[in-house]
Amino acid sequence: MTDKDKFIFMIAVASICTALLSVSEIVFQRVLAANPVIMRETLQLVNHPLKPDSDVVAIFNQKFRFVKVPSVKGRFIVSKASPTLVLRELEGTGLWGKIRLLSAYDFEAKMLKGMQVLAQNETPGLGARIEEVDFRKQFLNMPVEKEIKAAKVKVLDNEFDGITGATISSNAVASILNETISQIEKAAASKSLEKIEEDK
Amino acid sequence: MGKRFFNSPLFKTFNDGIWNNNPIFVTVLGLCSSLAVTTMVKNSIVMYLSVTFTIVLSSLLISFLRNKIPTEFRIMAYMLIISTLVILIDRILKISLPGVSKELGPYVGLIITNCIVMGRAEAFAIKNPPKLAALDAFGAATGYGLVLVFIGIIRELLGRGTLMGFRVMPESYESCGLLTTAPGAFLALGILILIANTIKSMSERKPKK
Repeated sequence: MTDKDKFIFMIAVASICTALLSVSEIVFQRVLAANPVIMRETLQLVNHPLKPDSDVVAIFNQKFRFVKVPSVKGRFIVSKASPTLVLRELEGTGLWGKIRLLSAYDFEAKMLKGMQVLAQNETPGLGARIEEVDFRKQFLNMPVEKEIKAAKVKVLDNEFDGITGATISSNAVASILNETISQIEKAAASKSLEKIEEDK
Repeated sequence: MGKRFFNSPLFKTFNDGIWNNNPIFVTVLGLCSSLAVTTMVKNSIVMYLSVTFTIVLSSLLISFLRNKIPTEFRIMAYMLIISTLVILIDRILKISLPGVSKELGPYVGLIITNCIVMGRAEAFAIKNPPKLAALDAFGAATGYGLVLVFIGIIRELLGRGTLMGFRVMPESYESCGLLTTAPGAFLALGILILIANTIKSMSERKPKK
């Protein structure tokens, strides 16, 4: 085998592998786009029992619907049973990258109904602990009278225990939640969240 | 069949991977993943299937190409083939078993650097015909997988009191948290190696007929 043959062989193997991976990437992205991640997370956030084989899309459509609000990017998720319960997926800037949260808020009771971290790149062991249940459960039934704040130790109603050593990540969570709440409040005040129901 | 089958070179190749040359007990390869993913039996099984997929297909491909792969670039060729397969299996897992895939974390991707895969390619597949190479790879993967499942059973049963997610131990059982952590994995693995080596030395002591 000459050097040229060897060279051609390696280029051929590399090209075939690359082509295979490119095709799989396209398929993967398609399947992921159709994958009901948000629907699953929503149902888990409101504690709907899910089995691995349950039809997430069907249950979701039974319980919730997506609502588009003019002039706001993205969508709101409104519960069908209690139309004041609204979920919203929102992204903010953490220490190392974007943090994406899904939070549930009841705009009549003025209360947070839970929070889930969809994506984050915070420091493992410090900021990444925003993913842990013990941190997240603070936002279950948290009354929202004033802006939410990350505190060292929770004293007031509008505070939560921030993570020691991860001030920026804790503050990022607070600001994303505040932004979510204000967006939901605005949408609710303009009656955009109800309109759709009347149309139906 | 019977005795002839057990003495055939095909079975010997397969059995080498499971017992005589078990990747974990004897050659002590692939420890990183075997310690990290074995907190639950289910994860061990998924990891076993992923490794089997990678190792069998890569050995087959390398064995088919064994006369074509240039000697000085062979490691590069292995890496190309192995990493392509691992990325494929990682994506398949992410789509079909999102929960397990999240728990396995980076360890599916790290199959690329699992020495067992590379070891079988370099030590066996490059010199042998595809049929034998595939069998050898399957044997090595099964040897690895069996150990994974055993460690998984010990750690899940004693560490959580469950098996495959079902409660097995009585409610009064106080689960041993140590076994769900990394030191517990070393303990379980050490005990398994002790048992395997004891059996091995006892069977060698028997007079041969």
